[in-house]
Amino acid sequence: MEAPVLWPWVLYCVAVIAVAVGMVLVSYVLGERHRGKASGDPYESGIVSTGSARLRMSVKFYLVAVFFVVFDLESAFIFTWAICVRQAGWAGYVEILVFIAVLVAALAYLWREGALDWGAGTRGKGSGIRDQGIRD
Amino acid sequence: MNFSDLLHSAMHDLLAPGASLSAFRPELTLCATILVILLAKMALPRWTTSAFWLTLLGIAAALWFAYPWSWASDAIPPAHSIFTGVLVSDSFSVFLRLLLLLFAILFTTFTQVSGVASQDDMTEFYVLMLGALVGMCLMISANHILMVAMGVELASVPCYVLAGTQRQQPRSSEASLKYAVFGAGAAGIMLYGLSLLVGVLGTAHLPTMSTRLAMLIQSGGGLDRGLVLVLGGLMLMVGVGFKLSAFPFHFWAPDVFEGATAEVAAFLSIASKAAALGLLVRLALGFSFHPDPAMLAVLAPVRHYIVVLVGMLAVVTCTFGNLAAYGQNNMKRLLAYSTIAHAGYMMMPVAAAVALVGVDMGEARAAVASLCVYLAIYLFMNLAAFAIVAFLRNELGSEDLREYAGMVRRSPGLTVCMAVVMFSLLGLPPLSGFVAKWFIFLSLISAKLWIVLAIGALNTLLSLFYYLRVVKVMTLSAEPLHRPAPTIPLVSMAGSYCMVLTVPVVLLFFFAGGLLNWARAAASTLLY
Repeated sequence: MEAPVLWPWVLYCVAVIAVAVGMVLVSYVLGERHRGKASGDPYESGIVSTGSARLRMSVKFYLVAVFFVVFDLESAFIFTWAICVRQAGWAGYVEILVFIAVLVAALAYLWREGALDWGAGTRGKGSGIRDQGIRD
Repeated sequence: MNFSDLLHSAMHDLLAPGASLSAFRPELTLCATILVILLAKMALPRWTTSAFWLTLLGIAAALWFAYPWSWASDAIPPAHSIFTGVLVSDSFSVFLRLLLLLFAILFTTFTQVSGVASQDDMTEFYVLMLGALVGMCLMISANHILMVAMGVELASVPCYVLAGTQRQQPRSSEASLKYAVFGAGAAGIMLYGLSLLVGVLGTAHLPTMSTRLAMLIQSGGGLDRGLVLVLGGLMLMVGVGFKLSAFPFHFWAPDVFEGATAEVAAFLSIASKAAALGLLVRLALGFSFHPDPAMLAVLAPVRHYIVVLVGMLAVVTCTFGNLAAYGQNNMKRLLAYSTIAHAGYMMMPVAAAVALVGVDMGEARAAVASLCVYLAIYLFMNLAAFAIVAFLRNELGSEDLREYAGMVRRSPGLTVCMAVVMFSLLGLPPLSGFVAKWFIFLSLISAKLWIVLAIGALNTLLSLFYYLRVVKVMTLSAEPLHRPAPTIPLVSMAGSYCMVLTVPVVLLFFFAGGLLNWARAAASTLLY
């Protein structure tokens, strides 16, 4: 077993660190320093920024994002079935029916729990997904 | 093979009589139960305990399907892979699955007796539990790296939510978040490690991976690939160590156990651990074994690596858990460290089994059997400990050990149960904990892992003090002046539940032979 050639890797690591440190260091040494009215502001392509970047987002958006990811992924499974409908035959048809039935059951449950309601809750009495720390 | 043939063979593998689907019935039953209890909540809102009864029914049905009715005691069918090789169905997975389902039945009853899931949350609680259970079933029968990753995730993610079920309590949410963040980190590292292993070996199918590994070593492979494999193995161990709460990855355990309810802590400490050990056995034996004797001899350095890694982690985990348990006054934290220590004990036979592969296959199987015995006994004693903590919490509103003072006068029966469980966790005869440790130490002797054996024995001594302290506070300390100690008679739901769990802790000592036969059968189809 011959020893591996390690020096290119070490050289690479050293070069990466040198470039990163160098960029910061050189701009620190050579860069201009002035304090104008807007020098602390973030650069937004010339548009003056308004407000703080630390917005409190309603958690409802995350819920919708999660639903999107889940159902999007599941539609991807249906696409893969769709391109081989003929070869998969009736057995494949039954399998995709079971799959979609599970999805529908999950959707019905979410609907019933009020997870799809956007406004203030109308259903349920304080349980379920809807009121888990959702504040506007 | 063209696409149509591929599809045909996959269909045949799935649907032919006695093929994949029939071996997968217990898991499918659990999945169906999840759907049924969700639908029952929508369709029958008046039936408030529907989730509990349907869960119990579903797990009982899964248990019925999981029980190997057709096996004769002397002729256990050999292992066969299902779903085109991603899962393996053998006696080991059947045994662990039975154990998990038995635990699930006891656990579901426990949650109902202690009343942890309120009527609003009950459905979600059981859905999450069943989801985690399916993941654990996948973990113990995984035969493919993708299934390892999926099983671990499916078992972990519901547990993060379960840890946060007490939404009103900030401590519970904190536990949930800590668990999720730590789990995400561990899963990320594990996936990276897995991708390194798969990348170097060019396959994700475990038996094929061991073949490629042997070929790589035979051809002199090159040190750089060896380094990547070692790194991949370490990273894989991070993920498994997280599930096991093994030493450097145990940080979540005390905090999560303290924040979550005692019921959820019991689930994490028993079911999650059993599944993680099953996975560890699959991976450790998978990489260290090859049916061809020539290849098997070539894999010796891999075995050496795994023995050192697992043995060292086991020893450190065990010692750390036992030492850290000393200063704990919160019972759930104490039991969390006790769980960590027991994870250490249970990793020892895995190291022994790997050390014995290639030396004496029969002894290697015996080492795995000793792990199965330990898991079965650990199920009863640890669940009993958490059950008593939960019932006392309902009475006292506290999980502080000092609050248990003087219990022996008011609830003598429950105190005796707790004492039995503590002595059994410690490993004193004539209780089943002794048998469990005995078999594990025997497997270490036959593997000649003397250092691990010595430290394991020393640890039993170390653990003496904190287990005894619990008993001492309950019996010798005086009752606090400001209120009487809680009264839980044995003839009540809670008391009789504790009895049901404590009696096996004693009886399994006397019927250890029967349990050992079961465990031997469980390990009998491994390593062929």
